[in-house]
Amino acid sequence: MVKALRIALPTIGFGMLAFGGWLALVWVPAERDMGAPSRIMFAHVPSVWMMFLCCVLNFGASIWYLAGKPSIKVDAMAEAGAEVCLLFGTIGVLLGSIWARPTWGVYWNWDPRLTSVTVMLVTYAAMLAARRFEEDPERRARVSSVLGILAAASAVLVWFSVKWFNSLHQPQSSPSTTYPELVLTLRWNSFAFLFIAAWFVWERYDLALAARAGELAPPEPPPAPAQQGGAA
Amino acid sequence: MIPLLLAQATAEHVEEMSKVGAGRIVGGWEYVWASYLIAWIGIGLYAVSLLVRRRGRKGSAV
Repeated sequence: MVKALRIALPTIGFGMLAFGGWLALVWVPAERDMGAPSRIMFAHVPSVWMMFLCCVLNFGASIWYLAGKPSIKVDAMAEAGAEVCLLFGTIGVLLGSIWARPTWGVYWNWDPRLTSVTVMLVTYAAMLAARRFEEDPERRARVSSVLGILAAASAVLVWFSVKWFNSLHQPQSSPSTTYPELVLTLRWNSFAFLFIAAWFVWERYDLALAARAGELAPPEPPPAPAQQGGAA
Repeated sequence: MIPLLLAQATAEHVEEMSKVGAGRIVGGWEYVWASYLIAWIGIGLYAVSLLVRRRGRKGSAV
C-alpha cells in the first residue's frame, strides 16, 4: 500500500502538471488587461502556496521538537519541510520576478512583499546551511527549530504584507471575482503541485531519517587483529 | 499668436497621446515560456536529485 502510494503520488502529480501546462498555456483565455503574462500565475501562485504549506510543516515540527517530545523523526520532518519550502519559494520568487518585468516595468522592487519573502527564504537557506556545519545532532535540531520558528514569523509578514503595507504586489484574490476558467486552471495546477510537494517531502523525510539513524548507530567494532602464525 | 500656440499644443498633445497604449499588455510570451521552463526544470531537477540521493543511500547501506 505504501509502495503503491509512493509511485502513485509522483505519477499523478507529474501527469496533472503536464495537463495543467496545457490548460495554462493553451486552454484558458488570457486575462483582459495583463494579456499573456497573466498565464504565469498558474505556476507562480501554486509554487508560493506550496512554500507556505511546507513552512507550516516546518513550523509545526520545530515547535514539536522544542516544546514536545524531541525525536529524530520530528527533526527529519522539519528538515524535509525546510528544503521543499526553499525550493518552491525560490521558484515562486523567480516567476514573480519575471512576471513583474512586463507588468511593473522592473524585475525587482524592494516592496514589503518581496523584501519579506527574501528574508524568509534566506532564513531557510541559513537553517539548511547551519545543519551542515553542526555535528551534534541534538544541538543541530534545536538551532534549526529556533530558525524555523523565526522563518515562520517572517512568513506571517509575507502573507499580510500586502494588507498591512503599501505594497506594489496585489492582495489575495477571491474566486468570486475571477472567471471560472481561471479558477479551474489555478486549482488544477495547485493540486498537481500539492501531489508533487507531498512526494518531495516524503522522499526528503526518508533521506533525513536515514542520515540521522546513520549518525546515531553505534560505531562498527574494529577488525580483529590478524592471527600471528608460525613460531616466535 | 495665441491660435498658433493652441494649434502647436494640440499637435503635441495628439502626438503624446498616440504613444500611450490602451493600458493592456501586448505580447510577452517570452516571459511566459521562461517562467514555465524555470518551474518545470526546477521541479524536475529536484526530483532527479531525490532519486539519486535515494539510490546513493541504498548503495551505501548494502
